[in-house]
Amino acid sequence: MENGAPESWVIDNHKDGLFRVHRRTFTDPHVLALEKERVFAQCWLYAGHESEIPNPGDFRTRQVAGRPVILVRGTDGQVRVLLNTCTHRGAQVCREKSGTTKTFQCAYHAWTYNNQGELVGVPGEDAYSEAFDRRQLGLVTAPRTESYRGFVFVSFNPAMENLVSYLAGAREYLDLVCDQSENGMEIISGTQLYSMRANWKLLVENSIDGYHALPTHKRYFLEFLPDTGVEVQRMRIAGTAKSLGNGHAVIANPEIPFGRPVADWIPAWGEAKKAEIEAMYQKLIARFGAEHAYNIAKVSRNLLIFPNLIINDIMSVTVRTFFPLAPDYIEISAWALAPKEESPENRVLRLDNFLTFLGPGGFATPDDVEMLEACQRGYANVREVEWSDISRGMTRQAPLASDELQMQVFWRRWNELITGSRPARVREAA
Amino acid sequence: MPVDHHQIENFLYREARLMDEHAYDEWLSLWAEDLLYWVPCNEDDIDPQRHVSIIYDTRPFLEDRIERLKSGVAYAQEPKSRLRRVVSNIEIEEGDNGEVTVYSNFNLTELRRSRQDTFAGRTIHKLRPQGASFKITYKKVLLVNNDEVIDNLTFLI
Repeated sequence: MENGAPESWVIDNHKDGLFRVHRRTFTDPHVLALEKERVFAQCWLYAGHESEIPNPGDFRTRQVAGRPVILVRGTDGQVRVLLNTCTHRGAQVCREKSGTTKTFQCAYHAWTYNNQGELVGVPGEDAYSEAFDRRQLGLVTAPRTESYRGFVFVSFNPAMENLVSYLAGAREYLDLVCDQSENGMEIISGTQLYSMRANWKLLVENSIDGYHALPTHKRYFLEFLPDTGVEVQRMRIAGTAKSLGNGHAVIANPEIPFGRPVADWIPAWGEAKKAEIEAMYQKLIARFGAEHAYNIAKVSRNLLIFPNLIINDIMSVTVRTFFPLAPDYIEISAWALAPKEESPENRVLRLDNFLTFLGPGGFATPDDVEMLEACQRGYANVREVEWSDISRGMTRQAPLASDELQMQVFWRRWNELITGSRPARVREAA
Repeated sequence: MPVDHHQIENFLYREARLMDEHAYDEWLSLWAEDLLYWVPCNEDDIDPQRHVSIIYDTRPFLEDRIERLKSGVAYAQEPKSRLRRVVSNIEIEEGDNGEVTVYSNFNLTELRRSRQDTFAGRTIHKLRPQGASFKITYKKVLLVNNDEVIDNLTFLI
């Protein structure tokens, strides 16, 4: 390979049950350049949720894979992801974070677009030749935009397979999240923004890592939760891990006693809430049958949709996406997701659950950041210590949430896209 | 009894020093039983019961925040940040029963792992007289960067 790259990035040795990842995948600017082209310019990427722009004209600006975009619902009701750059000389036509508008007018020369992206006004248009056709100069949309149950994705590859087929087995797990509501889920107002001086793939691994939960978050699980009245003997993480196809994976953990507003009661919420949460559960059983209801309400899940969407349906539901600005730096956007019909009182419980674990002031996220930055610093030894080991549970018939199958699934897909080959190179581990 | 501005300023300076020096128990002792400690996210004026915050602590959560910081396993503060802050632009609004609302600005320098960061913001304290001093019933911190990426807000602000 070019630039003195190792002969393989991933060692996938089924025979001996060993899986290794080369640490230059976390440090090498050349790898990041390949990822931008072969991963982020190809795969379906989460752009936002339809509930963030409920009414015609509503818009939000953000970055998707480094590109400034406008997530907007047009007057025609259709959700679009417009690339935020004037087709004239390039200025961002929308310079606000969010709002409601009929038009986007570029402040530079006043070219004006409607909220469907069509160019509807060019001052002094008579100065242009006959060949100038403003119908061809609308704001450019992401080449592909598709939604699944409110989750809006884009792909910058016009030939990408359709979203539902891309989601493969992840669809069933998105359904488990969406089925928590009869009226649809919504993003709760507010975006937590945080950064990490670590490679983006470290956060992928960490977001679906059952093995780290007790060591890294010992206090949360062994002191904070027991303080809220949870019996310590219930405190176990005994779930399973599953490959969902196309690099997607999930860990599912039954009955972790951190309380789930839909619908797993904890003592901290008081006796008065117990009947209400139980009734919510019974309603799910009536709608979906006992097994599906149990999976919706009593099983938490950490879901990776390849490459960079995490939906962690745990003590609260968080939707998290992130993009590398450098091999060792990412910025993360995280939202809370909830049933639209949730009562104000339960919304408060949900936000408490969210904030006591998640975000830059939470009781868990900052410690994850610290660990991932510690990994990244450790990788400065990459010349002498080349490989990370991700073999845990590799030969187990039914892998556990505390195994590393889910990371192997991610890395196999990553390796296929980066190297352009189907299976990862198999060789004896060093 | 007229409000003693000098005493209130000293209270704020003391609180700042306790935060800077990670004197967690002493800092917690400044708070009233019925407390609210709030750092809004994205905007200064949001409804914290309908919008995600960065921190929104009632007493049990603030007590746990302090226990966590004292535990030795809050890795985001092991090692701890070196902190020094300046509190200034103090304005005092007198309320009923000797309660006061105090507006102030702060500028905080944080050093951790060879990297120096600056945080700045406005703080709104509600103080209730108790004995010869006050207890904090409410503290809202309006970070200048509350709508930007923040990498670690584990120390006390």
